Amino acid sequence: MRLNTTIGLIMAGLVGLFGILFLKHLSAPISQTPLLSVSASPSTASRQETKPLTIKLTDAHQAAVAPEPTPPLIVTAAPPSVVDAAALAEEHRASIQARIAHLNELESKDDPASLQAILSELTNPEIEIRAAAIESTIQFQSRDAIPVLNDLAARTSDPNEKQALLDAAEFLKLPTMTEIRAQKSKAGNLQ
Amino acid sequence: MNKIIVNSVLAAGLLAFAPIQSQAGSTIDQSMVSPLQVKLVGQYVNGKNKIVKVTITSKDILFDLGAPKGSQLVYWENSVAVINNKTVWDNDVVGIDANSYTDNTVYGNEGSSKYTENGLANLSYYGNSFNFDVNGVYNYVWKETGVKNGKYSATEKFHSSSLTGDGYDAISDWSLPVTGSFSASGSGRFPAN
Repeated sequence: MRLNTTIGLIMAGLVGLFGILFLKHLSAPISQTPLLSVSASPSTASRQETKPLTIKLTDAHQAAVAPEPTPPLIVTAAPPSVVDAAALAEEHRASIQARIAHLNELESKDDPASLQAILSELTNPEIEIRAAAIESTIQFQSRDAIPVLNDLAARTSDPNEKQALLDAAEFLKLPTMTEIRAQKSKAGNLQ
Repeated sequence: MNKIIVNSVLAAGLLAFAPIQSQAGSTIDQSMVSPLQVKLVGQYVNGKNKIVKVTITSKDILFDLGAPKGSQLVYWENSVAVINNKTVWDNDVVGIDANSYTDNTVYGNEGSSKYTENGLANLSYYGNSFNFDVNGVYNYVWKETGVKNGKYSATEKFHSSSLTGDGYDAISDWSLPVTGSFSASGSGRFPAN
């Protein structure tokens, strides 16, 4: 009789314990469930609980070369209803020209910051600016640009743009006339 | 170094829409200044009897001329000049001739127009240490807007992508077959006459 009472009490206690645990699980907030995989992108950079942010070249480059309509580079404050469409187009055109003129200035320099500024325009959404950036990269004459050009070529779907990037990389691999001159002068001085 | 550049490119790419200080294009003495990009490849036989390629760009020409750092080779007033800090450092440094075969002007709305021209261009350079003389079919486009507030905007593009000719490296005494392209494009605002 005493044994039966003890077993009954233990069983009741266990049932009660399981019941409490079950109810607690049901009431737990869903947000505590861990996020297993979140694709890393600049927009998720602030979500520290997710996978650490790793910037992939693919994401940036593919976004840049995707044929999406692009907004004007300069946005005016006037409401769209009253803005003359032709004036906006002209302003957009002028903005592109200004960027290309800026690239032309940068290509005449030799510093790494200018090269980086040129290379950054290789992923500009405007195809005209990207084409100008390829030419400016060639004119800048730095072999540091070769891996960037090859990498972009590998991720570009437009066959013409891909070829232009690869051609630019091949061009930069060749010795320049200035380098040949320098080698000859050096060899001449050594003799 | 490459990784640094790639990362920097990405970082800079995020700033791709950062506005550049607006400028009304480039003009000197109310004439269009269009930066000239020369891109040539020459071939020569080296001391080991191997065919080797060498490139010539605007920077090589500027270096050969002894132009100050940061100078630009430009197409300006139907000739090729070197400008530095928006002033002409030297003019007629590269010969440029355009023999026009066809031309056409199309007039648009509000006084705008587009002029196109095609023909055969010659680009020649006789420098301190190397020369080249190349020819090719060219295309020239001049577009202008109608006059607003006494001024109009214009853009210019002059290019040839099929240049062939010969070159010479005086230091090595090499004659070089040369192929390549040139392109000059610019924009500016001008007072209406």
